[in-house]
Amino acid sequence: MKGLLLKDARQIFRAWYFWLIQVILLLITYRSEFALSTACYLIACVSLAVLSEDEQSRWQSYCLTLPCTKVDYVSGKYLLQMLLFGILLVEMAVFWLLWGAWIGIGLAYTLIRTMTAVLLPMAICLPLVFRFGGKAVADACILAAVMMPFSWFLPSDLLGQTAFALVALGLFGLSWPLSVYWYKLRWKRGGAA
Amino acid sequence: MNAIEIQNLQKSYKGFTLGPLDLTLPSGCILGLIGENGAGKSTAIKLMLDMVTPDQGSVRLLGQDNQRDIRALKEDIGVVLDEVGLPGYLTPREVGKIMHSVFRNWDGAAYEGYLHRFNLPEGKRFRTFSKGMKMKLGFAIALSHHPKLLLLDEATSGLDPVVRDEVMDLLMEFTRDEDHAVLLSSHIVSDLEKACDYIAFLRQGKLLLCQEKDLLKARYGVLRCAREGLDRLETGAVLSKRETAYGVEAIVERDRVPAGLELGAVDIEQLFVVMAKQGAKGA
Repeated sequence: MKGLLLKDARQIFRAWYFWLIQVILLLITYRSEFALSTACYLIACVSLAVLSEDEQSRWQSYCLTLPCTKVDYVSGKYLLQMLLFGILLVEMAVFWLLWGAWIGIGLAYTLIRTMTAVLLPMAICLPLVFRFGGKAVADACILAAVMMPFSWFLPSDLLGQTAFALVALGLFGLSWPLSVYWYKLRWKRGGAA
Repeated sequence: MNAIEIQNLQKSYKGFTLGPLDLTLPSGCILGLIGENGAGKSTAIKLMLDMVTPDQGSVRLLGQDNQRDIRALKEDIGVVLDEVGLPGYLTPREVGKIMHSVFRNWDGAAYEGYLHRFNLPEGKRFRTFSKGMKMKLGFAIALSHHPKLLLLDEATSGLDPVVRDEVMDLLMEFTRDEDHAVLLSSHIVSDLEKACDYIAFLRQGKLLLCQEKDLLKARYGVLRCAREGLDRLETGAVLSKRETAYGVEAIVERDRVPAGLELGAVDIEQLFVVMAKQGAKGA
């Protein structure tokens, strides 16, 4: 799986323009909820874009000829999503520190909202893409965009928001074995590529 | 030990069924799997690699069940499919680094040696490669982790004759080690005839024949004679006949031809076409 992650990492980090847009959005995040949501959306869609590229280049077939299983492939994409989410959180924390923002309740609210905004749509979109393939990526991106503002309607108290974030994390975790099952089913019925 | 043992393998899709297949490849040998487009060659290889789950049957590779620990098994298997599915943005150098993290036995020096042997530029992106260059990179990857078994699915189709010849020599060199084996599927029969020890015919999902190439050539021959000459033969001795301007050309079983008639060597391709038309099963 290390090789799979290395390949995905090379793919996402070579897209310098993506990271530039994301940094700019985070720079104005302090004053704009919309900018934060957009940065979260970009991060959420990276995994979908990588999946689409894998299918187009036939990497999905080729990697199964290497010491790699379908479980490894799916798990690699989930780990990638967690890695990207972690990068987003670190970036946010760094920028908030640079602005001298108080590391406390405000940041906690933002981090929790970010977790819900990124993980909840992916908990739904990733299994769909693994089941239906590249043709579902565009629909999944639209679905993720529609779901993103959901985080704005979270309860106002920290406990309520934390509960939602944990639910989002739990659903993301549950979607992992579902994705494995659906990916294997797709191969059983005719192959991914 | 047999490199490949397939027993009663079957897989059905809508409108197509592969199998039941029974096939054995001894170590130290090259098996040529011949079949027309859509015969099931790629499906058979995917079943061997557990990329697709069979409906029934079993596959043993290098003495081990392929359902047991396919990840560990694939460390000893090199695969080249009809298309090398690498992302276009990668260069061979980057591919080497990725494969170093994928394979336990990855040999970076051997990989660079193959890149040099095949004249592949290390810093050029994969998307800029020609089809032949992509296949050569596929071979470089497949050979650079010291595999014991090579599975090649139409791997020589896009290559020019010079490169194909070079690859065939490479495969024959590979099987000089008695622990190594190669399964090569193709519809270019001339490649298989040169290098293979065993020949298997696959047509519409059915295995028509799997036999040693030399035994096949010893069993069948080509008889060129006048039309009346064929009348001297037993009915079942003639597999096929073709009228020419000078007489008749027939593929016959050597054992059933009377002494005195001179027989020429038969092409594997001719034999495949005849058997495919007949749907016959060789003994």
